[in-house]
Amino acid sequence: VSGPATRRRVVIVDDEREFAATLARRLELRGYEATAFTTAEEALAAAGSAPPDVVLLDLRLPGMSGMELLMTLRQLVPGVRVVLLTGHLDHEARIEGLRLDSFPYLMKPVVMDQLLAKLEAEPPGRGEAGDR
Amino acid sequence: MTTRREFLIALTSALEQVAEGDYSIRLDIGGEEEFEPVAAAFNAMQVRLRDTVSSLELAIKNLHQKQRELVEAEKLASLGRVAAGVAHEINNPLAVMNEKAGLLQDLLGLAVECPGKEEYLALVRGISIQVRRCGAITHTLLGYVRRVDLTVEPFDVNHCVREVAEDLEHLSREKGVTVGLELGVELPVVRSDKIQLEQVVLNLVKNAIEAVPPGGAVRVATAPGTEGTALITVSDDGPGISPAHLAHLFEPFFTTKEKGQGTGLGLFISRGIMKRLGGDLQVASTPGKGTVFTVAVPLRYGVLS
Repeated sequence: VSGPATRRRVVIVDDEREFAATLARRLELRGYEATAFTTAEEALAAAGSAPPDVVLLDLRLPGMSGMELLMTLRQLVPGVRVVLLTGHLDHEARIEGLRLDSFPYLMKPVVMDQLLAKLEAEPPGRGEAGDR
Repeated sequence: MTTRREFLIALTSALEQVAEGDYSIRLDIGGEEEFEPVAAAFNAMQVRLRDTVSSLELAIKNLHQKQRELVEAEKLASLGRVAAGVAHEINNPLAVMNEKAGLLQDLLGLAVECPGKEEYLALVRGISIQVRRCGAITHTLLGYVRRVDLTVEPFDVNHCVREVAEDLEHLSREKGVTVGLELGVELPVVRSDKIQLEQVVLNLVKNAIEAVPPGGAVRVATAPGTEGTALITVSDDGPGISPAHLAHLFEPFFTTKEKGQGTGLGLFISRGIMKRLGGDLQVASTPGKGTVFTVAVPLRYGVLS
């Protein structure tokens, strides 16, 4: 059993509260320190005092967009790993007008084994786009 | 000998027939010298009228055909947008259901004293499986949105087919099905959307591998087609498709696969893609002998042949 010092801190940002909260609970059961937020602003405010290791991020958020949060977080917490949660990457990319396939992502509904693999993958170096 | 009166009667009757739309009637020129120029002019007018009317009829027919195609393409595109919108709205609650069922499974797994635990676990796993099944449908439909936007680039159709065959090698080997390639030499370079064409071919070859029994054969051939197209044919020696099924093959949600095995969207979307690329997807099948799918890709997207 890993102690609190080694628990990886995972932040989930998704405006679907039930989704974020339930997923956080499931990650807690697997030994992670997981917190759920429904807006980018809340997540950003919390990230200052407790920098996360990994952020699971839905791009479609009310207010500050997921993409803005992603950019800001990377400056605030260098080396933070961001995994996008999406219904369909191309769909979101079209909306954001960006090519997002250079970011690690997971399609919703999430398969837990795939999520755990993403969480355990080596974090990318500073400034890199990350893996797929 | 033709009298003036007789000639005028013949001319009147002929003109009445022209008014009715009959341009085949001709006047006899070999009569009186006086009537000859009139008869010749009438006959020349008839030839000209017939030619003009038939070219107009052809133009109208082509116009109707193009209009039908445009309406069909627009219908598919808007249907795709609606379907993708619905899929997106359903996908989020689906993701919540997935986590709730997952948490229930987690908690049941951790429970020490829980009579009937195995049965509950089996039930909750069943829910997760059905959620995944819905997810396959929503993801396919969401993929349709992307197919509305095209990326046109020059590429080699044979290269495209080889990549698909490589992608499906594990599947064919696992099932003991041979996938033979007969790639046409001197195929012109195609300017179209490579990724979307690959998706169509992948879908067809995958279907063919699934349709034949172990030991069966699938053949993918490429050849130049007519009117500035390249043809890709995917044939198999499987059980074939009955005429009753054939009629519904390209309809959305039509599937003959076992429940939960297919979304019934593959061929519908594939044909939608080919129409979008200005090409076509056709099928021919003989029950007991096999099925042939023919993909026609215009060599240059956006250039009308």
